[in-house]
Amino acid sequence: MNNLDFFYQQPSPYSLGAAEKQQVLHSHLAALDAHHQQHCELYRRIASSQTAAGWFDQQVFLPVRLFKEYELKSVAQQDVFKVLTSSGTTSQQVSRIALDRETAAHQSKVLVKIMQHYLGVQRLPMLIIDHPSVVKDRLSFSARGAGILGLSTFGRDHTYALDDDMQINLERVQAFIAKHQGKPVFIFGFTFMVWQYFFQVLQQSGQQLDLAGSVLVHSGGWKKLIDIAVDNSVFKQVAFATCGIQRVHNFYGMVEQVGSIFVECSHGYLHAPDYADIDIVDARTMQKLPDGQQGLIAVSSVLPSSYPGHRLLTEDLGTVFGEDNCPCGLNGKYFHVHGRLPKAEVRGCSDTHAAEVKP
Amino acid sequence: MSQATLIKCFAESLGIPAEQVTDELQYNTIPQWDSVAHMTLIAALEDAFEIMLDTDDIIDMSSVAKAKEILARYEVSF
Amino acid sequence: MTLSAIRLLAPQQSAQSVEFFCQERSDLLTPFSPAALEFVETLSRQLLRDPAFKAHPEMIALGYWLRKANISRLAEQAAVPTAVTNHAVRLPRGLVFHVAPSNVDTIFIYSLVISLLMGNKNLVRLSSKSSAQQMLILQVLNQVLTELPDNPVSHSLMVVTYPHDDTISRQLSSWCDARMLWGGDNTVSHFSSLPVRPTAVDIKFANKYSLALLSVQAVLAADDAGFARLVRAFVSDTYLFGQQACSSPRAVCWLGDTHMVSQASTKFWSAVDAAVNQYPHGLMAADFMQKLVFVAEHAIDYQSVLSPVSSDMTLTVLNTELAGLIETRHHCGRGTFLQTAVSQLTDLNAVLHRGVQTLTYFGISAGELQTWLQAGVPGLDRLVPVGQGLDFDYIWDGVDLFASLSRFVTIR
Ligand SMILES: [Zn+2]
Repeated sequence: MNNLDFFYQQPSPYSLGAAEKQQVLHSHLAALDAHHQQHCELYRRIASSQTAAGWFDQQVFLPVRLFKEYELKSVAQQDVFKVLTSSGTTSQQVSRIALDRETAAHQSKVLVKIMQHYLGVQRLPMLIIDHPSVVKDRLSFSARGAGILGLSTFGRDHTYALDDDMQINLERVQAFIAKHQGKPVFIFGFTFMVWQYFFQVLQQSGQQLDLAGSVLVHSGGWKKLIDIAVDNSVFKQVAFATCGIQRVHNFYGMVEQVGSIFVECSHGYLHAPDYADIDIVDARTMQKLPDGQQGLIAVSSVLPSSYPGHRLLTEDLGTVFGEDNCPCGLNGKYFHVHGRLPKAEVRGCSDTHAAEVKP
Repeated sequence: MSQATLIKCFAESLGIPAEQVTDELQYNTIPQWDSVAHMTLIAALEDAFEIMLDTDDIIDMSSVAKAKEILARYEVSF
Repeated sequence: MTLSAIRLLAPQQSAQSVEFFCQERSDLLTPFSPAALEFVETLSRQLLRDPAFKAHPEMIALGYWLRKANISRLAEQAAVPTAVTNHAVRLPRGLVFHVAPSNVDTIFIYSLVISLLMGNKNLVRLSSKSSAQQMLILQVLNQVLTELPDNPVSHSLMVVTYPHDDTISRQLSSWCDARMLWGGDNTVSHFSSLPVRPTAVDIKFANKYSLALLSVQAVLAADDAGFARLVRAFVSDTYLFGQQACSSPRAVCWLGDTHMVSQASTKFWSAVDAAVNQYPHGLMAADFMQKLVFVAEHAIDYQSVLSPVSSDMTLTVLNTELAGLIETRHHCGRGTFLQTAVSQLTDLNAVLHRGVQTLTYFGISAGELQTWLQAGVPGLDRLVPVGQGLDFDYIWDGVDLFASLSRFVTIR
């Protein structure tokens, strides 16, 4: 029912100009609003409440945290073909995203369209900066496992750089490099893993790897790195110094909207593809903010039809700098993510420290 | 005597100069005289005049003039 | 013995070991001893005079409550009727072990003061997670202890901390004559499982929920000054601690003519909305996010709907059926109010339970409330006028603290 042919027919995932995108994306998202109202009773209840207050220009944005507490789905149980889970960094609760075949197919297809823009249509030899057991249990994917499997499509000769004890298997990595000498290689890993278990180890041991000409794609958030004062430019410098890697693309995406990811362009900005959009929201007024102002990131995606995740309010802070006029030449809004929303102070007499009672 | 003590209590509790403590000064009209400072003020007045104010009087004490009127009922004369 | 893991926070130094302190009983005082009165008065003065506490309304409120006039009043109220004093003498219980809540909250200080006024020795356990609030409490206690080195109360108080350790908690529990447990339900239940001696008592203060009851007619009829007072009082009951205190109302129930409710509620909330935007509530983006999640959760569970009365997330009002009024599982405070209306007081009985503590009221006569209570209600510990929600009372959660922290020796 969720026909995305119009989007798929575009020459690149960054084709639509602002005016056209506004029209096409808006009507598609409005159709999804109606679809989820009709098929997800819990979503309908939230929507009734939110629209009464007139937030977000009458659009309904679900806080992502809700997917950790409720099974929000717009399809019958027998049509759920896979449940994606993610573990939050702060709580032990996990998001549960119900996928039917259609949504899962759109997710894969859109991811292909976007990644091909950066990797080309050829499948490249792929070096994964993780250990192989992260994808072993195919029935219960972790977010890391799902991410790796999702991106594995774009590579061949998949080689894991780490062993199960998180040590670099240098022998294996060197053999991989030797085998594909002189050809472009696709490297993928989670930002923190790549830094901690790969770049840092190489840097400290003074080892150099020859991965010049390869493309590094990484994701997963900067929080842990910002805590140790590593930002995007430091990350890129070390990528070049240790491995000779010059093309580095971070991407921003969430398990609640797999597929329509926001990839970092050659000028260091994350870009909204045709399939998705980003808005910055003022948490106090629950209204959208103009470009240039920092606020909560709200993401929209035309993909989710099996669960009401097409418009989400994240707990990340960001700034949109403009639309269609990034120096890299790509269309779409471009932005930076500044990190997680700082936590609120805990006050009062409630049970806020469950850990306190542990013997 | 009482007048000087009263002004001292107001000035110190609210953290304002003594000249500002006039009969017309009203609760919640200056940032220094808010509900928190009001508690400090009540404690200071009770201490200085060795009295025990009723809850109603504490709530009614909405200006310096009113404070004098209330204190008069506790046999403080101005 | 792992008692060496205990860190003494106040006094900063002591000649007594924790073990000796806990077991010695020869140094108990008598109820309302001059020494204890002097100690409390000094504490009050310190809180009210030291500019360090100016920015902390909860510390000022504590100092205010502890002021001499109020303590004398309390002493009168707690006085034992002659019918009893003729054949009974009131004495302290002995060692009281106070387990302070793990998050920031000054409320346990009130019960600590009542305990020392009764002549008990007091051992206070603070959470090992230090906070700004905790530092302030320790700072003021240590100031008083230094100022009164010869006051016997200064030697009958120890404030300690230790890492989560059941061995220590078990040992300290076994020594006390009364144990005061403050905190969330989990903390209270967990400590309860560590035995006290058979002759000791446990006094538990777990999580509670509070609400406000407003008369439709009274709100509509209030004159400008009275209405402004109501709004100010309501805001300070609810926004002073970010609506996190157990006795801060989290729900508003309208009582009266159902046809007039929306008029009264619009009048009330628009005034509250204006007031909170002037109020130093300290709410931040993360708080608003938390509220957004609660709005969704409550809509899912009770089909409640946001009311458009507020201009932004500083004030959040959710219209709900009566069944959704008392929501103890997810309610996040931070200026969030569940709102409904009833036409008579007894309608509330359907949703009240023992977890409901304070009802603040406006425009309802004491007689009407009395009649309602006397017929029996399934919850509620205290009913106070709007504006007194956060005031401490020596009868707390239905427990008379003076009575619980002392004992009567009868003589016939
Ligand atoms: Zn760009």
